[in-house]
Amino acid sequence: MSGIKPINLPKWGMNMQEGKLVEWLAEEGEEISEGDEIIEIESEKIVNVMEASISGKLRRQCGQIGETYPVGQLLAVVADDDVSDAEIDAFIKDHEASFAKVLQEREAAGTGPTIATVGGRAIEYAAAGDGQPATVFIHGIGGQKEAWLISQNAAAELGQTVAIDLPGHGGSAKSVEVGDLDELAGYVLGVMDELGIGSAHLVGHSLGAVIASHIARHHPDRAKSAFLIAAAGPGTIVSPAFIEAFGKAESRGEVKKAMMPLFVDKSMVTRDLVQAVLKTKRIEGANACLQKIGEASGTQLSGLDPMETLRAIKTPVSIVWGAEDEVCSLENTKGLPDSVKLTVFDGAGHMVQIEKMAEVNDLLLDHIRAAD
Amino acid sequence: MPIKTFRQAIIEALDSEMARDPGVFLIGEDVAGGTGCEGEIDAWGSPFGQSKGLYGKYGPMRVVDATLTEGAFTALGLGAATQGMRPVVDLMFNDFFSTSADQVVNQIPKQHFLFGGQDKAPMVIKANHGAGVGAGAQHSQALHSIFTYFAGLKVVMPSNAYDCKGLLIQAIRDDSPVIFLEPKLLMDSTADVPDEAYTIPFGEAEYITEGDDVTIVALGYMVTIAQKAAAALAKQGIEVELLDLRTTSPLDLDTIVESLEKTGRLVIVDEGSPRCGFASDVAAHVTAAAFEHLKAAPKMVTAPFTQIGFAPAYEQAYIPSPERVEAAVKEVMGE
Repeated sequence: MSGIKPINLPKWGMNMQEGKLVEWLAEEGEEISEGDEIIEIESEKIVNVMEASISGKLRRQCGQIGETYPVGQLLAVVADDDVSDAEIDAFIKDHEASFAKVLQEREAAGTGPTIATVGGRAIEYAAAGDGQPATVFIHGIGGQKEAWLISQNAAAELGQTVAIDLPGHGGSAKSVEVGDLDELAGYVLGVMDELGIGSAHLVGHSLGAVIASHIARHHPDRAKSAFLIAAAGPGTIVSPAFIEAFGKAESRGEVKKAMMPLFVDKSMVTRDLVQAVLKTKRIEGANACLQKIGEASGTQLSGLDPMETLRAIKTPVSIVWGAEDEVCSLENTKGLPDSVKLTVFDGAGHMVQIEKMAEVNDLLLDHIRAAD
Repeated sequence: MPIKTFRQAIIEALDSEMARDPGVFLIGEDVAGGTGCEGEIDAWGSPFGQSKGLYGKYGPMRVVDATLTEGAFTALGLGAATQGMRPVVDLMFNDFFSTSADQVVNQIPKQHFLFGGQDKAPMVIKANHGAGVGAGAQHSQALHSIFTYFAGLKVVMPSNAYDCKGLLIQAIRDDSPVIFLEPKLLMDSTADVPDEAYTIPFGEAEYITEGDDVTIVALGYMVTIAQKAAAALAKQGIEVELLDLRTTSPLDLDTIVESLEKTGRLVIVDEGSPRCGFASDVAAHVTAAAFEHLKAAPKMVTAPFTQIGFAPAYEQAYIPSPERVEAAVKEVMGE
């Protein structure tokens, strides 16, 4: 049965366990070439296009639209015309048998996300890629590591990456000691220690950007650079209404309303996104933890001069902002030191890295290459 | 997040609350699972294994294996609840509520009212629900509409393992008496279920799919049936907005109406009776509240008005099927 090649469900990130087949972009009988877009697959609520890594005739579509499959599942078979249908059937059968074993082993090994214990707390993280340059992703308040998936995969092409869930978020412990910047920075540094990352490019959004700049200032040996997106806090021009509404929101409707100011394009506050936020917020202790972090870091920030922080950072700093940010106003960027590179996107809000994902990713990769 | 079954979600919710609050206890027939038989303690734990492991962990004073006296042990639950405990009374099959009907109908829902708010009955009555496992006419009914009739009871029926854990924890912590129904056919269904405790508020419907053409409302196992129909309809270009109501009391009428403002068409899928049932109740309330949005009369897909046959073919014909849902959707679409 030589000449028969499988197309399997790819693994697009350390935590990806399964994917949903959304659409076929290549039909049975079609000649495909390496790089052709062949299948749309949804993972972590984001639809991506899978490109062919092999060339040949697509003889069989094995996956069904709308079905969710484990990573490695046989989705299609590529083979030349001289291969008979019976041979393809036999290939699929063999593959299924061996894949069943793989799944069993995977289950036995446990495929849960990776957890580091930092300061007595479980901190969940997703790692991808190897070697230098290393990049660390830190989400904002109410966020989670999965939101970085696409950016992280892009950076993983360059080197080792890790996205962490801060305490109170995602899969991490739902508690903090005091919740100030020193403590939060400690969790990031702890995960870096766990992975043997000495110094990394730090990418942060909102509160995560403040944590990144805090590390870059106070632990200069751990930061090769800082890439700060809509940094909460500098000048403390943060919408108090947003913080209050988000903290208090309990029902689906309240959470949706509270999240509206995050985006210029309000349709991006999808039910899936609201549901993901609700799932985290409803876990015991999570909301109280978020409020504690918000209060402690907010109090600390009000006593800090952000421009002084930025001037004190000796490594390269890039700042990205959405011109129509309703949560952390663009006014926060007034008086930036000349050493800082600022990029402002029109038509984007606080979630500029989602609303202008491709552009921000390009900037990020340029930033890492230039700063490394 | 770890993948767990519906059954595990029930066990985790009970375990979480029993560990958190010493006033929480479980009482019912077979909840201990084989107690008294040598070497058989904790062997099973309820007919579908939904309390397995709890007897071994919490012992006979907190996982109480009751005699065949539903009326007595439901009353025991009420007594304990009025004294500050939070009992979980397991009726095994929801059909057996009839033997404790005085408690469920006349006493428990009225406790708070009759004592002028000075007393309350924070208890859960849970039971298996629905047909599909060959349990016959007296063990297979879908009686959620009967419980919904009584003000003073909250009525909950999850459709998936994630909701199951959050809703059961909410039920135990709730200060009102709660009827918690566990669809038999969902026991092996799986979902991502956090290890931590979490609660889901009552009266909040969940969007399972979003669509512009037709709204389907369902709960419990009927969500699975409606999902299959929605997937088949999607291939034919009909977009279904499927709402899982999660609770029948309180009823999230607002979300149904919000969806109908968009779709204008409603199909209610329910395993209960077509007479004085949950489907007809929803149809009536929705029609009164949102008549101006309706482009067609709401359509009900329910069980037939008859008994549940023990023969598999009869039983299968009794349960609403994806095909019947699909046909109903096409009917409200005018196709």
